[in-house]
Amino acid sequence: MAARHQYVALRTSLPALPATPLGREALPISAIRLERRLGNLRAAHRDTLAALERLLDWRHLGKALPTDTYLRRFRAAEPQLVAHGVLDLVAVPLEMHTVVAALRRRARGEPAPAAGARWGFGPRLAHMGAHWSEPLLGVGAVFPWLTEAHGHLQGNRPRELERLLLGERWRVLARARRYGHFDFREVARYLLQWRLVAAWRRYNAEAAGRRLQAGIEQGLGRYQKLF
Amino acid sequence: MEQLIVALGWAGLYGPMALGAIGSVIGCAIAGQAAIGALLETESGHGRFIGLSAMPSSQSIYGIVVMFSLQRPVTVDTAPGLFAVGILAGVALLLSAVYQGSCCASAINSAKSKPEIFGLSIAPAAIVEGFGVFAFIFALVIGGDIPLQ
Repeated sequence: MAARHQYVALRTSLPALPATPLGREALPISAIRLERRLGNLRAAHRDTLAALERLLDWRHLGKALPTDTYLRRFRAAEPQLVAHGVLDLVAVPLEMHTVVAALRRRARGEPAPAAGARWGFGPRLAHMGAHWSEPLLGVGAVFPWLTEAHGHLQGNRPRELERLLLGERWRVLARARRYGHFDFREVARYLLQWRLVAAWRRYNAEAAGRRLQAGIEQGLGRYQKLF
Repeated sequence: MEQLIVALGWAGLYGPMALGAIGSVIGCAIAGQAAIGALLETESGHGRFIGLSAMPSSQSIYGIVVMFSLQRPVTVDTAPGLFAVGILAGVALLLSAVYQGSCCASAINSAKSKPEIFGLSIAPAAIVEGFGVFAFIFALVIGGDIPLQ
C-alpha cells in the first residue's frame, strides 16, 4: 500500500472535528478513545507523536525550562520529524510562540537578544532582534495576526490573546490538510487539531470554575468562615 | 524474435484482465479499509459504505470482457495489435480502479460525519469510473480491427 494510504482505516475511524476550535460543542472523541485508536500506528510513528507531544505540550515542559534545553530537545527530535514529514506542523506554532514571547519580553523591558543568539525558533530571529524597537518587531507583514496580538498584549487581555493564537494555529493546521491522503501526517495533523479543541474546552472549563468560585465567595460574603 | 512477439501478444491478451484485477485489488483494499474505519464512528448506514468500497471491482469485469473480445490465435500478425490494445486498456483500467478506490475512501471519510452528502460524494468516483468505461468500450471497438489470424 502506498504511503498516502498507510492509515486509511485509522484516519476514517476518527470523527470529524468542529469547523472552529472556539465553539462550545463537546469533544467529538474522548482522549481515551483517541489514544486507543492511535494504538494502531506503527511503533516509529507512535514515537514521533510522543516527540510532538513533548515539544508542544507545556505539561511536559514545565514553566522554568531554559530555552537552551528546549532547543536541544527540538534538535534531537528534528530528524525524526523530518523523516515522517511533520516538521512544519511543529515549526510554525513554535515560531508563532517565539514571536509572542518576544513581544512579552520587550513589554517587560528586556533588551534585544544578542546578535547570533538562539533565543527561539524560526528563520527570523536575527531580523526580530534587529527591529526590537519596532512595535511589531519588523515581522508584521509576515504574521498578519501580530497587530491584533500586540493590541491584546498592550491592553492586558490574555483570554483574547489566547483565543487569537489558538484560532491562528487552527488555520495553519487546516491549511496543511491534504485531501485524499490517509497517511501519518494526516493523523498527526488531526491529533494537533484535536489538542487545540481540547485545550479551549479545558480553558473554558477552568475559567468557568474560577468564575463559579468567585461567585460563591461573593455570595457567601461574610459567612464564608461559618464552619 | 518471433517467440518474443508471440509472448507479448499473449501478455496483451491477458493484460486487461490481470491489470484490471490488480487495480481492483488495490482500489477495493483502500476503499474497504476506509469503510471499516467509518464503521467505528457511525451508528447506521454501514451497508452503503461497504457497498461503495466494492465500486472499484467493476474494472476486473471490464478486463475480462476485453480479454474475451481480443481472444484469437496469437500469431506474429495478431500479436502487436493484441499487445498494444490489451496492455494500454489494462493500464487504463488499473489506474482507474486505484484512483477510484481513493475517491471512494475520501467519500466515505466525508459522508461518515455528514450523511446527507453521501450521494454527491460518490460523484468523483463515478466520473473516474466513466474514464474506465471509455477505455473499455474503445478497446472493444479498436480490438475489432486486429486481424483474426
